[in-house]
Amino acid sequence: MMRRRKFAGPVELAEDMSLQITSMADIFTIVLVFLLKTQVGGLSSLSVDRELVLPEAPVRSQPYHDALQLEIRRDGILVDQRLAAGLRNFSFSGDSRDGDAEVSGISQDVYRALIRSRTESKATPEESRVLLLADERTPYSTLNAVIGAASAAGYVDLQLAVVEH
Amino acid sequence: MSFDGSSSGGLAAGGGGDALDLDLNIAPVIDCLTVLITFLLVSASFISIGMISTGAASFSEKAAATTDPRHDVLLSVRMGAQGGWLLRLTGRKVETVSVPAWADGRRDFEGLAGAIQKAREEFPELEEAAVSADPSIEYGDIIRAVETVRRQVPKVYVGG
Repeated sequence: MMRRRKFAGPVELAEDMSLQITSMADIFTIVLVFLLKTQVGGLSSLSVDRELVLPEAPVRSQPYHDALQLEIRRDGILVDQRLAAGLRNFSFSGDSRDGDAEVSGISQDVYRALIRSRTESKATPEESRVLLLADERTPYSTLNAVIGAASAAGYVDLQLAVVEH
Repeated sequence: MSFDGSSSGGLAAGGGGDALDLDLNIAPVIDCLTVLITFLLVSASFISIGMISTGAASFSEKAAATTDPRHDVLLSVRMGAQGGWLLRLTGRKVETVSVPAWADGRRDFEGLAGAIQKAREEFPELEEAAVSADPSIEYGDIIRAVETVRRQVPKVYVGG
């Protein structure tokens, strides 16, 4: 007959339990570096209105040059984030001063806002760059009037903002 | 030799002084990392915005006539409301090429690329193109056209 072994009593667990957070620190460091890397870049800090739907285009990332921001939304055109002209469903309304923009080819309100912005920012006459954020549903008539105004104000280098895909 | 049960924890080796017991408290580091990561996640934008560099086309025939004389040939691409393309070469040679839309009304971007390629083969010095459209054409389609033209012509202008 086998001799029964006497089982030892329950093992007392150590009361001190240390939490290993070294591995968590490693993961946090990696995630932090990744997020910082993705934050770098001028265009990533661009704030785009939620209702503004930028067109998609297969473009490679290009260095972003600081430029005056021109935004075309459904209800208005913003120059340097200030309302310059009103729109009605992306088109110039007949009761605004730009009612004949489609005929003349130039939006006078946008032109005046661009000149004012150039004066206030004390931009040099050589500064000719403008960043255009236009909704993909904008008709060419409105776009042409805005580009015409920009061209008349000396902004002939257009940077068209698109969503990369 | 006797051991002191209430020692501070350091091991004395060879009868020397107390060893330095250094505990690195990384809990505050974790706190900072947590806050920083939360902030970056909230402010991160997962939509990548790129840009296409173009120029503003001239708005008068007079201005167009004073373009760089080095560029003897200018290409003008017009998007029609019915889905077709109208390519116009001006300068050393005047020629008009029409690219119709597909039977279902879709724009033929491949046809446009082919027509531009032919123009480039005939005029290798072709370096500029202007893209314009019918007033009702949407900006999204214009961007696609600009991208198609840009693949073969280095400098693209929009407007007119």
